[in-house]
Amino acid sequence: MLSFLLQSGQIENEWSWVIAGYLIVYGAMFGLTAWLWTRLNKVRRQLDREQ
Amino acid sequence: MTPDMTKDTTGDAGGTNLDSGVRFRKIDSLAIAGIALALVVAMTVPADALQGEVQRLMYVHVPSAWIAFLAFGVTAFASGAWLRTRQMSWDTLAAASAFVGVFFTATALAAGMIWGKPTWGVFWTWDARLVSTALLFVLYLGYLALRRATPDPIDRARRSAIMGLIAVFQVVIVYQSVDWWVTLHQQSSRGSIDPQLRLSLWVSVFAFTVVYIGLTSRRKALIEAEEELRVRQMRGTAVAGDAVQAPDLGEELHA
Repeated sequence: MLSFLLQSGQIENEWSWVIAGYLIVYGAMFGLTAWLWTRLNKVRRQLDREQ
Repeated sequence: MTPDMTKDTTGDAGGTNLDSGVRFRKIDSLAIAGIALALVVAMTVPADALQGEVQRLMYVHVPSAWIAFLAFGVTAFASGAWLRTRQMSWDTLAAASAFVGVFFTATALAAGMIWGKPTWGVFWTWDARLVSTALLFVLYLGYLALRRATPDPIDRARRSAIMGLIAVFQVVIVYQSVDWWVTLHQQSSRGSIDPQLRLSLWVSVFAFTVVYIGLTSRRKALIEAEEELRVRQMRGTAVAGDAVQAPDLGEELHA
């Protein structure tokens, strides 16, 4: 596993580009979902307090 | 399975929070299952004969771009629907879809740059497809900035609806750019793609579509909740203002 990760870190390895691309795209997707979820819950809690 | 994204999802209506929570959970479950399937298929289909393993980036780059186009199309449709009906839920849908469209344009650009480096030797080049996509990104950032810069809801809806209808033409320019100009970016590979690769691409498109629906529904609910909170806080301020009695200057004025 470690050797695979070290190998993936090398620019020459095609898989390093694939892993970088997938990490960025799917990471951003999960990040945005988490941000929206947190923000929506916060605003709804505020709304409940205001009632 | 897909939610009605024009439906009111604010916490004001009784039980709506609970309904939207259940709906979000359903979409999230479908999105996670779709992404897991897309990942498995994308990593197990044979690599492209010419490009090798880096071609697997197609399964995140192309769906990102297509979903961005879909999102901006929905923004244009909702903008037209607002101009016709004046229902604020259409305006909120347009805003939410544009926000998610900007996000997917950014991921398409990022994945494209990462794909470009090992295949073209550069992350970026002044190619018609790349430049027109960057312009699309900036154009819809401008759309979101216009919304933030207009405090009145009706003015905001009107201005952004007009911009949403005009800006969608940039999507056509991006799509046609590989045919209209000589580009480094490959032309559309409609019909010439291997069936296994095509299947993997469609699985990814399905997963990204579910993610788009989830993100847009959540963003729309957030915009509506924030608007509701703003209105309530304004009402609270107005009540405090009403309690302040102006001094009676009647006699002094008549004197």
